[in-house]
Amino acid sequence: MSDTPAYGLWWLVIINSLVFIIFAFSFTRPRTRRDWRSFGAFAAFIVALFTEMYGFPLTLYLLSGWLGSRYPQLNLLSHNTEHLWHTLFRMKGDPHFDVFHILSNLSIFGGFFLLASAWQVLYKAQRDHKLAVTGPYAYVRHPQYDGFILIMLGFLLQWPTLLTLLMFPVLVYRYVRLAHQEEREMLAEFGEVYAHYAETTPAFFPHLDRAIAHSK
Amino acid sequence: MATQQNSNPNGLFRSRSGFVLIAFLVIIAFFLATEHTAHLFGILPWLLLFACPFLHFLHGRHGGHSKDRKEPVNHAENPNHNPQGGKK
Repeated sequence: MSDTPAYGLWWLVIINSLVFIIFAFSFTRPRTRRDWRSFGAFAAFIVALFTEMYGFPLTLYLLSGWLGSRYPQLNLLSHNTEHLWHTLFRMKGDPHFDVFHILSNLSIFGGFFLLASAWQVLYKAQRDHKLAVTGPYAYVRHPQYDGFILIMLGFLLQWPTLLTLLMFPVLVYRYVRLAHQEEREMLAEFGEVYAHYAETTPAFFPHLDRAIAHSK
Repeated sequence: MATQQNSNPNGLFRSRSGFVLIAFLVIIAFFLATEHTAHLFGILPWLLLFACPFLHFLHGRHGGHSKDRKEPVNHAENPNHNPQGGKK
């Protein structure tokens, strides 16, 4: 990647935002108000992120004084600088191949895969008016929220900005609340069956030992 | 009650949804890898963007056998609607 100034690329802001939002839309198909709220929160995060990544580097402007005094040799307007963990930890080499970036890409792709595989199970279950309990739903009760959170976490690992760092805990809190609300509705609808499912299946964090045993 | 539904995630890759997923992931990989140098690829980023709604409709029309996709789902009123077996 070149170190030339890399901002003001508004068409890239638009393309990237649309690609990620259309993908998420295609694999979540928001229908209820709750669906739209969780989807909207994700979309807001994506737009904020790409606006800073290619449009206007607000974080760098706000931190420029501090960064300039601490890292005097830094080219503040280069694209690589805003791979901020790389900069802050004074890591060597290309930031696109550091541990943050690799973990980040794994997390983003994992999140999208989770969204898509959960959607497939959920869609069939909804069509059949059943409870979704297979695929990713066998490991966690809320794989789609997990998917959204993984994708956002992935972006924070490669491209942290003040705004997205602030948004992240708020959005996670919101997802947890929406998940609880969804559980109450599922309990009212499926009763005993859901109660048993909820007893044996964790909400967000899979039991890793069980997941590994299952996959064998 | 005991019939296992075909919702094995491995089956995802053999379905149309799987094709749509992989196509989307390839597009995303392109944008994540090129970052701001995407402009060096001329018209390609735009073509990839325009592929997205196409994939979306491909997915919507066939991916989930969506005969009742437009209907609002109201489980409470019609719990035994579908004759097909599910796991629970």
